[in-house]
Amino acid sequence: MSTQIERIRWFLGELKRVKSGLVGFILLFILIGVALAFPLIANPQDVTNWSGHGEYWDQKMLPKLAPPAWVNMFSSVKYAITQDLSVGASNYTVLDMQDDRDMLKYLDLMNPDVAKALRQLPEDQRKALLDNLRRNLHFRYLVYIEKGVVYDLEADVPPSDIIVLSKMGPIVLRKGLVQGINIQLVRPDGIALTLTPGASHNVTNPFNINQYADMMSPGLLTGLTIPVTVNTSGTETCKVIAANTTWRFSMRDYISSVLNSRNPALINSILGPILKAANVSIGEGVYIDPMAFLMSKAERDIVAGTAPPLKGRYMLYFKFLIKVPEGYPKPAFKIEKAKALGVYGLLGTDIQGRDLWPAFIYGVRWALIIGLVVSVISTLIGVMYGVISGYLGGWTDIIMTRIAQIIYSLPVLPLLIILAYFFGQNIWNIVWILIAFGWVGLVFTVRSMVLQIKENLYVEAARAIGASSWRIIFKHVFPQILPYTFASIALSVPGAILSEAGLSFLGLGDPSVVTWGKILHDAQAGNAVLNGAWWWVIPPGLGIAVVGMTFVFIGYALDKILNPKLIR
Amino acid sequence: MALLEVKELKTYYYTLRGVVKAVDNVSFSLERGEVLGIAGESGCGKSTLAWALLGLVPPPGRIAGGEIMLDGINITKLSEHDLRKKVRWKKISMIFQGAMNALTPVFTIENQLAEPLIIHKGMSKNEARERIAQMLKAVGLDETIMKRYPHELSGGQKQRVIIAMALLLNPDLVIADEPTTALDVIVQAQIMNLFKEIKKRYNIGMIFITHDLSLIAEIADKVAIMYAGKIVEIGSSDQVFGNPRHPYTQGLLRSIPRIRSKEKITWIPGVPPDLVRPPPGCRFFPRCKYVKERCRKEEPELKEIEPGHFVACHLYG
Amino acid sequence: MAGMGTMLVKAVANALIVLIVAAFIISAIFVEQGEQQLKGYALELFQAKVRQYEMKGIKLNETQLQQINMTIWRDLGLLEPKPVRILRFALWSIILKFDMFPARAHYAGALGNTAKDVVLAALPNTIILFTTATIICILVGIFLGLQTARRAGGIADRVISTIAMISASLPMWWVGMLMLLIFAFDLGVAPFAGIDVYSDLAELSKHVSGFSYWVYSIPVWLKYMWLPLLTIVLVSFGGWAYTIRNVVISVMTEDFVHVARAKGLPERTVLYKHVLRAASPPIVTMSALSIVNSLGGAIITETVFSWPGMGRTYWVALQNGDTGVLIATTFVTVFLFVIVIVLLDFIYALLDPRVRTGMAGGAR
Repeated sequence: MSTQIERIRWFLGELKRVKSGLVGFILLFILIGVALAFPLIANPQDVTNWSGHGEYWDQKMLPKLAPPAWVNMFSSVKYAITQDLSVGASNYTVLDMQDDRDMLKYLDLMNPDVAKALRQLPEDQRKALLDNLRRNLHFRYLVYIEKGVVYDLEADVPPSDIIVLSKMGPIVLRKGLVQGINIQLVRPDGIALTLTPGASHNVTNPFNINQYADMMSPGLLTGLTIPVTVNTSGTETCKVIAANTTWRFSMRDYISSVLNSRNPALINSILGPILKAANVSIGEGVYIDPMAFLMSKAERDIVAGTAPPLKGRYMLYFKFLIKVPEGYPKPAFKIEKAKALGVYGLLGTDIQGRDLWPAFIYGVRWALIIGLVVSVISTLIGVMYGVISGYLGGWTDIIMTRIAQIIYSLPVLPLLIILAYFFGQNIWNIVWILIAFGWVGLVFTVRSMVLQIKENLYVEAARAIGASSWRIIFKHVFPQILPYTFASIALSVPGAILSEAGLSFLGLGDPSVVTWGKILHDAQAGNAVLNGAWWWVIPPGLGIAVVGMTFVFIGYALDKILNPKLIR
Repeated sequence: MALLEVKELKTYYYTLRGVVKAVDNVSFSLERGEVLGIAGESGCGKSTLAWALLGLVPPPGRIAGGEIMLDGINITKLSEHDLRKKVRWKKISMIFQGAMNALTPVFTIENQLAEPLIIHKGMSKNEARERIAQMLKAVGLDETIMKRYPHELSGGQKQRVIIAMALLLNPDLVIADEPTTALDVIVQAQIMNLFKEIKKRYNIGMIFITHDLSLIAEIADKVAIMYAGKIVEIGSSDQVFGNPRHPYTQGLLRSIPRIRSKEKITWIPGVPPDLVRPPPGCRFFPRCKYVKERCRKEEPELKEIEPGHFVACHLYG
Repeated sequence: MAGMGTMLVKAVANALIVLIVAAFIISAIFVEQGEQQLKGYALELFQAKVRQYEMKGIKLNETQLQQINMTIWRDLGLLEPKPVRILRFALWSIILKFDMFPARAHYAGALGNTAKDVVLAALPNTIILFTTATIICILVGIFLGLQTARRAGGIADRVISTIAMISASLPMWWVGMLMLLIFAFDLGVAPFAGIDVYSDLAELSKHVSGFSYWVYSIPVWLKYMWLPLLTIVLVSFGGWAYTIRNVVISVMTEDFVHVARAKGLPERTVLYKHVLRAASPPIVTMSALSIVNSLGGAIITETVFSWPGMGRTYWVALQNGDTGVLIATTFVTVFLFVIVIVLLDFIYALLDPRVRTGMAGGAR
């Protein structure tokens, strides 16, 4: 037992000599640590939901193809960071038309003369006239809803999008019942826009329907992507924004659709105030980045996209003036989530808006597992094969060597690809396939080592004493091959990892397991290179390289220490 | 003036384990036409000594001190360029240990023998061919050997080729490093006869290095016994074999089997010391049966016990 | 050298056997693999055909439907029993008659639509890229390997060893992606996709023809080739230098190297004449095998660069279930491999006289 401890001590001493080996082992410990610490440094849910769980990532509302947040440390131009928007104004006022005072307030706004006249009437006459008017109204309640969100732009590059996720409804839409909507954007320089054409830039009177856009205007609700359903209630059929309808408003998408409509009137009604202030107009076929346009200074270059950023507080208001008919519930509008999207996280996001950091960390696990399992098993098989072939000699040896030679000379990658194509849907099948091709390389070296050992006298001596073949193999042959075996295991790992990565890259791996190769496959499919998404391409490949290097260093050191022949 | 004078030569290997003192303070001299035999166990520094004489100690080894005077010139001080152009093969050539690999397997014999002739003597291919044929005949080989490849020759043939190669430029000194070790006894005898012939015919100085004392007895005029990097006894062949003084020499001679003698063969117990940390005092003391207190502390110097016969042992003052 | 004659006959016979066996194995694998896809494709065609009739208001009965299906299957070759198909593909492969294999997908640069046209277009592309890269690596590797072997343990040696160790863990195709990011995206000095070379060449052919066309097409090829070439060389040269260094070191420990030095030969002669020549058999073997492996084209690297070579062709064929092209490319690669192996035996014998005399001479 003490000789074991001695041997280990000797080994550690030698290891200190070979610097690369030391580096390798340190790296290995770090990698194992990272692999084990995965649940602590990243969100495992992100990985479980990686493939085929679009809803999970939708509700996370991460930016798509966003660089990591720390690019700002290295860039003179600061990018907007993904952040939640804070809630600003909030207002919910109801006017009940059954209530005379409320109704008068309403009339004050609609027809001040009539209202004034009515006020001067005695109460019962007023009541009678009001009742009369009431019968011509198609609604009971008039609801004013206002919700605002606030964004402070401090960066040099505006966010790539502003998204507001809200729950709204019910709102009845039918002829004669004009429902008002006004989405206002107020810039730090005071320029106010309304994103809903037809509404006013400044709402002075929230109950004045004329200051709102008619929700039934053609294309308005579709343009805003507000889902509308058809509701049959009793004998009536009408369009309704159902209760608790989820509305996802994307500033970028909306403005892009406005710009792409090529409708000058539409463009002018929405973007007019900025254009006027900058004293420019939008020409034909000019590409305008929506967010840059909205958030740059109103100067001549704003159309070209090179105007400086307009930093400061932006306020986005969602205002509704809803008429609620008798018997219908009052509408609600609740902002669930509001976010400005920009650079994000430790490793950014991919084109589907998935956080790349957890995937990257998770990849360490599989790289280590696949690398070690494949190389340990294939090395053991190769060594056993070589030992048996070399030791038994004769026809067995000739046949076994022939078989190994044939397998060795087959073109590996095309066959790997074909096998993976057929059977590769499961990660463990991939492991077996890699083992199937990995064991051959060692056989020849091991066999020649065995042949040399056979020449040695003590093997003859053992045989003379009458020791069985197996005993000889295990007691005398194996211990001599052991050092080479350890070095081989380490040196085979990079190959295994590279092969798995290659197969995953081609899309042949297990679709439910996130490995670095798979991330790179997605990157290639998502045109990462074409779009310059370096944060998607570099980390996984670097991971593969580092894990590979770790084992190359270790294997090289093992080889040097345990096989002194190479020492010069 | 002596052909070769080695004064206090030190050749060390600077390894990660420590400094290996392979040749530690060795001095001897050699006259023209004289054969010096150097004998000793494996690892005693004989081959390193041979390489040092050619200035070809492989790294991490270096000549760490002392002088090698060849014809009055200190060749340890020569530049690599001068060594190559003036000394190697022209003045000193070498016959190698284990003729197995001393010839490059991919070139013909002629090609390899012609190299020194063309480079050092500027001969043309045809001139070289003549000289090579001559030399091959002189060592008892047929000149058709020229066109063959090394692996096509037997061990004995290869050794003869190597001897021929060493003599091509008529050097003053030839170092033979274990030239017969890899050969069987019969071929060995043939090669030894060839050496004796060369000694008679060419009158060149020779250093004959081997662990086999019986071979030295056949050919050497002078004998030096090396142990652990040092010369422990040196004298004429008659002196050392007839009157061995150092316990090590005595032990070596007693371990040689003799056909007609009825003496029991004895051997020297123990192993040669680690040259990184040799024992203090006399390096042989752990194995010496005459060991005294002084031997453990003080290193003995070479003392002349009879004219021309030197021993490094405390038994003799 | 009479022994060489028998060696030749034996080697060729061996090679033929391997080729025949390989042809059958390859045909079997790909016919089996393509079967599923072909059947799926047949179903699509069938459904499309039926829809056509429905749109015209024609309703078909059972027998008519069967007939349509039969026609489709016949056209796609599915009516032949599988073993017959395999045999057919195998036999044609052996005689290299690839113009009998139709190509079902579109391959950049192919002048016709048979597998033969596809291979004729793809093989030279792979050669000019990978074989050139391998040759450059070998030359650089020999130079660096010799230099670092001489001063083993020195700074240059440790740098090369480290580079070799690092490049052994780098996926070549990932480095390709990085190079594209830097040189194509960031700096804009390299094109993104290799297949665009054909549109450039088409443009060129509108202006020049004949000999000038060939001359002017060279810079066009270089424009698309330089980045993948650089990538391959960068990732591979370290490994070559290190391997050659090891071979050279083991040669340099041999006695005859010391002898050569002792003979007073200049160091350059010792290195380049004795050492290199003695080290050449394993180096040449590695080189030949490497060149032949490169003929399969690195499938993934070619895909990243969209380089229209054998590798990318294999991949496109696989995705499109193009059995004929799959068999053709795989078999051609094996064929060239076998030829090179046979040649290699001879080259090795040329370089190492010890191998030549199996019977004659030898120690007595």
